Amino acid sequence: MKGLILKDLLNLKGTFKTLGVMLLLFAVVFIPAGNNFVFGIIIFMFAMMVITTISYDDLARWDSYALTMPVTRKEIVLSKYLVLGILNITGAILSLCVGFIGTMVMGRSFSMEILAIIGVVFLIAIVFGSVMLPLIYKFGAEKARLMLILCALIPTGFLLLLEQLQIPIPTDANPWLYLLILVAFTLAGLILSYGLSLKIYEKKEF
Amino acid sequence: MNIIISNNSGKPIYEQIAMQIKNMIIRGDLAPGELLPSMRFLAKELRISVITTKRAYSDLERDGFIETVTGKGSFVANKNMAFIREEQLRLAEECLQKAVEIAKSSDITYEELTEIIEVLYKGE
Amino acid sequence: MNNALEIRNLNKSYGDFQLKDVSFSVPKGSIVGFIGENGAGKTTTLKAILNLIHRDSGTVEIMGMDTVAEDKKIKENIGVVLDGCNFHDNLKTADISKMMGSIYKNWNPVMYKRYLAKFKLPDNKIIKSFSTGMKMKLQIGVALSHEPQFLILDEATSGLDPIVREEILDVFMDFIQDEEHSILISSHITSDLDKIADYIVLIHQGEILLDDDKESLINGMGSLKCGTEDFNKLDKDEYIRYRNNAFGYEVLVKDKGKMQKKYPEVIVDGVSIEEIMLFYIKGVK
Repeated sequence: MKGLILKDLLNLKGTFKTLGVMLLLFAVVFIPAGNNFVFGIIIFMFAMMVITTISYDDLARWDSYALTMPVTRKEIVLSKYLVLGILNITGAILSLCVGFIGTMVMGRSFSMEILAIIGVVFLIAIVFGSVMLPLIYKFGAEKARLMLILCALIPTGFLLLLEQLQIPIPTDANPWLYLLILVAFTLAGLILSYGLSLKIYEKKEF
Repeated sequence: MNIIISNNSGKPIYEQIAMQIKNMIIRGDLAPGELLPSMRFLAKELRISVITTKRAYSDLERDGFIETVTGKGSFVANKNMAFIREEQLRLAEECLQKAVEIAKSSDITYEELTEIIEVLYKGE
Repeated sequence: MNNALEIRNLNKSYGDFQLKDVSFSVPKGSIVGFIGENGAGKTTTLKAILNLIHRDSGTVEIMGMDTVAEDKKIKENIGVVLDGCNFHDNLKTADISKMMGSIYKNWNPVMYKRYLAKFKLPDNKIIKSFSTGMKMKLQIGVALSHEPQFLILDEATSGLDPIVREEILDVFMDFIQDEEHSILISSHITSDLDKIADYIVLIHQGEILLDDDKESLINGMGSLKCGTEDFNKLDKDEYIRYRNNAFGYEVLVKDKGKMQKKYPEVIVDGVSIEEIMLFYIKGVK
């Protein structure tokens, strides 16, 4: 299992570098403009990399090879979810850092808004991954890529809606309740998604 | 120790190996009690299958030229080589006897027969 | 437990393709050549052995253990090379050692390094830049570096130049110097197997047509060449398959010595594994 996660991270080594440069660019362009969505984008880009790892696996026909090793199908699926988690958390931490440094450089104070955006996008990225992974296992990374665009529209629309209604700044009565519901919802989705992926993957023939 | 294998001789490879080792034993190039290369090593070096070398060794063992001790390997038998040579000679005599019988019954002359033997012996 | 692998009545249907009651074994300490044309069912059989596909029925045992029940334990002890390179393009050889180190309990990084050196594989280049032969050598080096007892190779020498093939065969012969080690190698190129295999298993359209030790095949079987009249004299149980052309017959016979004695006027040639395979696949019963 550790080997499988290591494999994905080693594979992403190159991508991390490109991403770092992009990140810097985004930060330089967007933070001075006061656009806080840059923090969301960072997390999302990181979470998306789990799809890149699956494309790499497909290209190398890795999965059939991995199954000739002392690795179970369950471990292969679980490792992808863990990679998703690791990438998400890395993205969130990086966002926080960029947020702190950015606001400091700009002489602004680190607002609750940034924190809220990071938190919400973090959860959305997990939901997004939860939807994507079973789709990929069912239809393959190539076909799922098309669905990806479709899937991307949903959270984007959701985010725009949130912004329009000015909901993401839960300063009123019960912000913790919102958060709790959101977290519970995400977690339930994640578990469901894992179960589904595993079921699909167990049946797969290579 | 040289073992040369021909792919075009028409003789099975195991036979070629067995014959060459037999020769070495009879000529005294291999002394009684001497350790022979392992079957797997021989297969590896000659790039042939293990089953082929196994067959060669088991033929040699059957004919009393070598002895195999499990876990230790195959050794040249501690038999009197003069005795083995005697046995081989008798075997050759037996075969020639048959040839002579056939020759006599089919009106093949002594000269023709010796000519055949000469050709066969020197051609080998 | 004298067999490294034992397959009994393996069945699998795949749309219009079917494995029909495939049974054969790999005796410990031996090399078994698994031959057949492309699409005959070699890869499907190997995949079923490895649980990459779900079989419809039949049992497979590796080193005496059921492959379904003891999947993980077995896979610690076997080395597998599939057709094509399965490592990601951007990895380097050192990355693979890191990965495999946490996948296999008995991964041996020193042994791996030794294979890399033996095969002259560079450790500072990404795998994308490797040639086909280098990739195959890498796969084989990886497959051997967790000290497996049993190697399963799918088309490991196909598409490689003779020099690389020779290097690889060398490594296989080294591997079976240990009597506990065995190899199952599938191939549609039979000339390599002519040299090193102990047993030959021939599959055609999902069925095993032939399973015998190579020595008796090559020394026993022969190709009898004759005209129509002579062919008509042959008994049906005297031959296995025949092929004919406008000018005569070629007949695969079980015992070439016996046939030559019985029909001294016809030609009986020796046969290679490749010719035997052609007779079975293209010939008439």
